[in-house]
This record gives sequence, C-alpha cells and structure tokens, in this order.
Amino acid sequence: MTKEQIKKLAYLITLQGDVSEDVSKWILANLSKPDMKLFIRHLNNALRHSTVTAKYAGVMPESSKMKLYEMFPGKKIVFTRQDDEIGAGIKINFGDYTLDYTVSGIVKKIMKDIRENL
Amino acid sequence: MKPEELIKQIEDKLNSVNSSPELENFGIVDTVGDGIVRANGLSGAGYGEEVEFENKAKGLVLNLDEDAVYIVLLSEIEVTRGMKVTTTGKILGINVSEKLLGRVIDPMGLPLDEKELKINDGKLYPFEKIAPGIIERSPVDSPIKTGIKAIDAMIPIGRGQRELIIGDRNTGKTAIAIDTIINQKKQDLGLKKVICIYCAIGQKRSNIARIVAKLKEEGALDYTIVVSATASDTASLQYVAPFAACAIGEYFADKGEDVLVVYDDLTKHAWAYRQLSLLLRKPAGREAYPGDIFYLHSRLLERAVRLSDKNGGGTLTALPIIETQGNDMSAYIPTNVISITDGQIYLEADLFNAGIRPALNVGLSVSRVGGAAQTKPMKQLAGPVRLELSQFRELQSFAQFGSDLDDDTLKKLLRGRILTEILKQPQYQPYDEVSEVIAIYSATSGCMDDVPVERVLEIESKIIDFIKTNYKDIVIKISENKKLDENTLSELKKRIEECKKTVI
Repeated sequence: MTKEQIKKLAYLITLQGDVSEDVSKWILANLSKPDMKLFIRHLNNALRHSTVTAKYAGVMPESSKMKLYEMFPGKKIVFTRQDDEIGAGIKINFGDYTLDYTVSGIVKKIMKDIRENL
Repeated sequence: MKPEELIKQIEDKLNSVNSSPELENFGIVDTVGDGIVRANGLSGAGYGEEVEFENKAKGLVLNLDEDAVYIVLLSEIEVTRGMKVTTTGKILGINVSEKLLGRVIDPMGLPLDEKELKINDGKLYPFEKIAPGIIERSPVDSPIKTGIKAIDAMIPIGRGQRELIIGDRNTGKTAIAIDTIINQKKQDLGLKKVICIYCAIGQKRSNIARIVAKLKEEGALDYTIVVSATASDTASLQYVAPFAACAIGEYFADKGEDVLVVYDDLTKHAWAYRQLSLLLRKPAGREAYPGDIFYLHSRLLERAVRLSDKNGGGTLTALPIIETQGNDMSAYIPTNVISITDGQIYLEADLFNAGIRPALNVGLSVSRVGGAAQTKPMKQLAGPVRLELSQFRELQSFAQFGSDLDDDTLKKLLRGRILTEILKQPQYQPYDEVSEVIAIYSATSGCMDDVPVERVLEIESKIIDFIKTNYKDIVIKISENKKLDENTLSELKKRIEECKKTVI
C-alpha cells in the first residue's frame, strides 16, 4: 500500500466510526510493520481531529453542551468532569488545539506572565 | 528609587499582564535524537518559530513536514517521547538592553560570566529579520579605525561595511578583530564611540576565556558584548549565535549607535548548519552543505548597514572571519562569503611564518567601499603604498635570479623592504591616526631609505614620539581630517629628518 492509501484508510475508518472484523483482519494480514506504524499514527491523528474533548468542573448545563455541538458539527464530543484539575470553567481540546476557559488555566497564565514581566 | 516609583512600576507591569484565554496549538513529541525532535500536531507552527516543551525546554522549528514538525532543541533540558510541546507565536529572539554591555552571554541571552543578569527594561529583538531596504540606507562614509597601519592605509573599513577576514589557521585573523575592538577605546578623530560585539562560534572555551581576559585587561570589555557558542555547545546554539549577535547589534544601531560585530568564525557556523541540515534530512548539496548555505550567510551579512540620518544614522559593521584549509580561497564557503562581503583581508601563512605580522597579502586583499570612508590625510599619503608594495613583490621574485640590477630597481626593492617593515605591527598595540600617518609618510617620503631595515620599526616609534611631543601643531593638522598642504608635508619631512639625525 502507498502512504497515501494508508492515510486515506485511517481517515475513512475514523469517519465510519467503527472497524469491522473483516477490515481488521485484512489490515493485520496485509500491512507490513512500518506500514502498520504509519497507519496507527494516521489513525491517531484522524481520531484526534474528529474528536473534541471537553473537560469541565461542576455541572454542565445542557444548553452549553448544545452550543458545543453547534460549534463542532459532525465531531464526536467527549465530556469529562474533572473538578479538581479545572476548578471552574471548561477546557476544550480539538485536533492539536486547546482552548482553556478554566480558572486554573487563567491563574497559571497570569502567574507565568507575572514571572516573565517582573 | 522612591517607594512610589517602585509601586507604580510593578503596577504598570501587572496591568500589562494578559489574563484572557488564548487558543493554544500543541503537539506531542514523537522521536528525539541528536538534538532534533520530531513532533506530531503543531499544525499552526511556523518556520523559525520558538516552541516550548512542557518541562520549559525551548526549541526552534526548522522543518515543516506534511505530518510532523522538526524542532531543534536550544536547551540541554531533557526532552522525552510523549511530552507536550506548544507554539509560542514568537519568532526566536533575544532580550536586549544596555545591561548586556561588558557581559559574556550565550546566544539565548543567558550569562556565562557567573554574574546575575536580569533585563527588565529590555526589548525583544528577533534573530531573523529582513535587512534594511535601499531607501533606509546611506552610503558608507566614515571609517572604523582598526589601529593596524597596513589595514587603515591600504584596506580601509567603513562603518556599515562587511569586510571578510580570511586565512588559514594561526595566521592572526582573530588578532585583527580583537585589535580593532581594542582600538575603539581611542575614539580617534572625534568619531562616535563604537559598541563591539564579539561572537565566538565553535571555539574552545580556553580561547574565549583568553580573549575576554585580554579585552578586560585593555579596558575594552566595557563597550563589548561577547556572545559565545563554544565547540562543546549544541549545533543549534552555534547556528543561532551569529543571528543573536546581529540582533543585539541591531538594537544599538536602531538607537543611532555605531556597532561592530565580529563573527568568529563563519566556517564553523556553516559546519553547524550542515550538521543540523543533515539531521533534519534536508537534501545535501556540494560538500554535503544544504542548498541554502549561501542564503544563510547572505541574509546574515546583508543586515550590516549604515542607516540614513532619517532612520537614526546608526551603523552595523560586520567583520566575518573564515578559516581556509591550505590557503584554498576557492573552496565553497570562502567563495560564498567573499562574494557576499564588501572586500576581504587575506592573511597568508607563509607571510606569517616569515615574520610579517599582520600577515596581510596586499595583492589579494581589497576593500570595495572603504576608500570612500578613509580619512583624508591617510588617503593622500597611503595612495602609493599599495603600488610600491606590488612593484616590490614583482621585482623581488625577479631579483632572485640575477645580481646585476639597475639603480632604479635597487631603489624600488629597498623602498619595498622598508614599507614591508614599517607595516609590521605587534599584536594588541593599535596605532592612532596621527601615528599611522607619520609612520606611513616617513616610509613613502623616502626619509627611511637610509635607515637599516632591521632598525626601521625602532626609528619609526622614536619619530612618532618626537613629533607628538615637540610638534603639536603638526599633530593637530593631521587630526583635523583635511588634506595636508605642501607646507605641512615639508614641515613633517623636516621634523622626521631632524629626529632621525638624533637617533641614528
């Protein structure tokens, strides 16, 4: 398989959201070790880009969840409650970007800026 | 400082702190090896951008692939696989202020002289910057005095010029640069002070320590900044070192100051870049250097500038050094840098071994723009030196074959020997303008023709002392930077003869 084909396969599997037994067997039987490594890397990337992780503290209102679904249409959104780490607010990871709206994140940023400026 | 002022200062800084959330672009370290990190993600990273790892290690993005980003590590903090790395949105740069003067730092601005360095009022200057355009520049018109007779007379360097110092190892390349730095203490002819930056790339720590000690001893460290990336530092630090030195120079030049930057040496800089490029899997070209090796040095040296008065009038003079192998000037890197610079000072091992120091090859050395910046008395008197020396070298090779030479040839040979002798100069003893003019004139006027060659330097120093002590009016006339009239020249000749009678 060419590199392009491996990349496309990983992308399509992610889009499908599921891997059938036949496809899994075919991949295990036909991909060499370096190709498999490449496939897993692309699969990882594709999963990261198709999944949005929202970490929040306390109770998250349904309206906020709906807003996130509107912001990321067609993406799988995983909600995780992490009161200790976040304090308050929400931290959204999508692809290789992070949007930090948490109290702990803002405090950390202010502390960093103070250290750099003073 | 009053308490109110301190509180106000802290308040201002705290007000400038940005607390709004920002979009952070991150990646995950995939592989680490030989100071090169391959990271997945970082889709928003740009070429030359500074990135930060989760353990505060810093890196520089030098290659962008379809699926990965290649980062060059700039600190020796350990980076491991799976670590998070984030973009900073900043082009790599250095925090510069006047506090750097007199200090020895690494290319990232960290002190190496075991003294604290905290720059609060500094300005961040990027390592990579597009050189000033044509409109922002003015022609080179004032000299940077090296204090070396041979150079100031025959290969004058102007402020804002790029003059290459090239030669084999141990021919005195660094000595010329250090002498030039030391000579800036004099502020000859009422010229503006010069801030000097000595950038050591891939050198031994002992060498740098010796240079720093010498600068300190001569009182030159007060106006000098030493940027050091030694042979034991990573290739990435050696690669960014000249850019850091240039960025520091630009800070002062933008403030209207005159700056001299010595890049010692760009051969090792090219080696460091070659090492990085091969590790980054860039296609290798001639001598395994990457294709953009010319652009690497041209974009660095193009930043040497004489800014127009409208833009502050600052200057940045560059003295790059190149080490040749076996006098081969036609190698890849030497020819590249020769074509980029505005002239070269070529030092020859044979001349050095023959005791001619500085071991300057007059025929191959040239200054393309310095002539316009040369002082008037020097230009007037040093004109015939190059011609007479060239004639001497030619005749000398013929004279080896026969003994029957006519008077004219013998005279030319004698004059050549005296000129060669008078242009010799010990290290760390730069001459001021007046001494240089008197020394050169004493040889070109023929006053030294009856002096035994081995006593030329001794007599020369006595003549200089004699005129400086007893004939201040001549000294003032030379210092005025005007063309010397016939009367002054005949007076000078008379005084040289007068002194000679007492010492021979």
